[in-house]
Amino acid sequence: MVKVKFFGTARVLLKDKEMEGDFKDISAMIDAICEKYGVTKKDMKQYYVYVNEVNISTLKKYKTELKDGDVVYLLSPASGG
Amino acid sequence: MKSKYGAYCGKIVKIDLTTREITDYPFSDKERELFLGGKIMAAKIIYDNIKTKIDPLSPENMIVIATGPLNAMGAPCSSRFDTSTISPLTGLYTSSNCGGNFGMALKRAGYDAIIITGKSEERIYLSITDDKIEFKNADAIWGMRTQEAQKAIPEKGDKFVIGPAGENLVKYACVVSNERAAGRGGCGAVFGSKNLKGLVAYGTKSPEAFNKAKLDKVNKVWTTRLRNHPLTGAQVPKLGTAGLVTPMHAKNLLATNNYRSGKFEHFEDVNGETLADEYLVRNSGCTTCPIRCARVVKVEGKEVKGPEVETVGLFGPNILNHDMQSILDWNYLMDDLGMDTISCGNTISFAMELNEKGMWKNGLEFGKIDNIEQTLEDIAYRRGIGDDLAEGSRNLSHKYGGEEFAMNVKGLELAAYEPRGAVGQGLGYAVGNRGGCHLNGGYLVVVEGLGLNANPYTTHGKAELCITFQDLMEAASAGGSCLFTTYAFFPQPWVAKPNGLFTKIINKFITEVGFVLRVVLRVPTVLAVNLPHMLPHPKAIAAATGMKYTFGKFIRMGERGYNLERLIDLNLGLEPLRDDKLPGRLTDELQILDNPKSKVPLEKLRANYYRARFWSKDGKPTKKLIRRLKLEK
Ligand code: SF4
Repeated sequence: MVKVKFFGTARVLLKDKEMEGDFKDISAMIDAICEKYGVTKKDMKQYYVYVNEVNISTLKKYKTELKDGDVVYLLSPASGG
Repeated sequence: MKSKYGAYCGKIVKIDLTTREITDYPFSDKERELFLGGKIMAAKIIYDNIKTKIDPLSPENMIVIATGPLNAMGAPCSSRFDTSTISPLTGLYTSSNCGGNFGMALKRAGYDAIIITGKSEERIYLSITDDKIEFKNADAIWGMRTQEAQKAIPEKGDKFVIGPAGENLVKYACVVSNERAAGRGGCGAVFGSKNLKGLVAYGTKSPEAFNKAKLDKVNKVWTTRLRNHPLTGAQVPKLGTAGLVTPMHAKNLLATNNYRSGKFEHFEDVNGETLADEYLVRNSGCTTCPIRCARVVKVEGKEVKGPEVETVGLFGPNILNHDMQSILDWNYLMDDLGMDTISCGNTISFAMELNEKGMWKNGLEFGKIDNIEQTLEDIAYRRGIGDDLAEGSRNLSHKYGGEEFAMNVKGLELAAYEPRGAVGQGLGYAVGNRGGCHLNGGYLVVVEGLGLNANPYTTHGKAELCITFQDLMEAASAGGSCLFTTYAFFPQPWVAKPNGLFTKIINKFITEVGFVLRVVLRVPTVLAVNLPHMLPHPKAIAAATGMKYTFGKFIRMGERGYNLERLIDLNLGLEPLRDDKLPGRLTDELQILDNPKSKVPLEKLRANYYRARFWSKDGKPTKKLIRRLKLEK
């Protein structure tokens, strides 16, 4: 099971904290989120994605594979303080 | 001295508390053009009056409370005013920005700034109603906390007061207006040293804009831009500044365990999302603000202002505390006692590490929270260990050792950003004129991971970016605007599409534009334009005042302010090569053991910075630069 945690404006958009599921890769995970929450892929592409605290831009991006026990974060594109 | 420009009252007064004399302070229109308002106007006044090292808590010190031309002009986020003085924490110039209503009231009463000097024999507060300034006995309100004291001052108007911490000369005491604080650098202790409990201002005047129709138009576009920007229209209003906790954790930027780590395993208990989901009553904001970053939360059943990211970070991860309610309670308590949450939290974490290492047995332990409330009270009243803690981390390190993990620069404690995860932020902390301040340091962390995603470890371009941001924020602050308004500097697509090709190119190349920025910084007149996507501040200032303000002139004014602050500091004894430095933990120890880049390469960054600022190799503005900036003839 992969755990996906929603942070920042992702939490505001999806009105949920997290979801769980079995996904082959990040792309499949995004498809599942779109289906469950009725949002578009375009919406989802505005977030940074981390797998086990590593940004997927340094892995295989949306093709990054997921395995049982992985924790994924969706983070706001930008934050300010 | 009346002004020909709009938006100014044309009046600055000097109030001598020793003699009770009130005199007009001359400030010409030429000076208004060069030094605009707020902290830069204040720096000019302090530069002209304090030429050598002084004891900040002596009558010789002065307090300048200055408004900016955009205050009370209908611009978004423009209720901010600056309180400037010589800091008892650093011995150097400090200017603290506050969003309470006092600044606008001061302006409506007809003052661009007031200068307070000397020391009153009796405890007083100042009552300002239009042209009338009165010295009022403060015996009845001395000892009161900041909220009670504001209510107890009987005169109509907006208040600006200290609490017990300021009265007891806690070196990082603040001054509070409504629930907003002029927090950093210990202005509150300077008030206390002058037997000044606070001020109340009420005015019936309304300074006029030079071109109101044009200003209204600029303000409307500006407000819309802030409302539509992903940062100021969504992230910050929804999650407050504590919305940063999660990305800071993800990017190794969250000061944890007295800056021994950039990650906190319980970050989800204390992040902005948890604050919003479980504790937020509603959001709120300073007057005229469309962003509304402030949080309203409950403390003992009362609705009060919630904590900023700094307070969450320093009283959460940095002391290994994951109890959010305790942070809300302490935040309120510190505001009410009147002390800066950043310096206070950071000093406490330092004391915890001293205790852990057996260097000072004080009972404070990481993760132990049942004695913190009492400790905060003890600091404000200087009881027991509180008396030592009230001196700040640098003074503590002089007494008990541990300088390399006393997380301050020049005596001012660092904010909650762990700079080994963003070395440009480390540079900013080190060279900042007021000490270890994230904002005065340029806030590069926003480019190095929290807004954009530029390489956080490279030294390339960091000096030039740091200077550009420092100068821009300096100028925005002097105008009377909240620094959040500068976020509009980031074009929406850069932040809205972080995975887009364009953003990736920006992230890759933003650190390579140093030479371009150097040209702009050398000859800002190349930007003598106000294009639609540029910051709206110069346009608003031009419409409000009638001065010819362009982006280039705006950034040059910020540069002038930054250099002026450095000149004040040099007069006060700053030795840049000795003082522009970071605690050893950040320059000598790796944050991540298998990442050799995870420490701040300060020497290289600092040399680049001095060069890009056109300073000498030992960190001083050159004679040529001083002349070019019209700081001296
Ligand atoms: S963004 Fe926050 S600090 Fe700035 S003016 Fe608005 S409420 Fe005040």
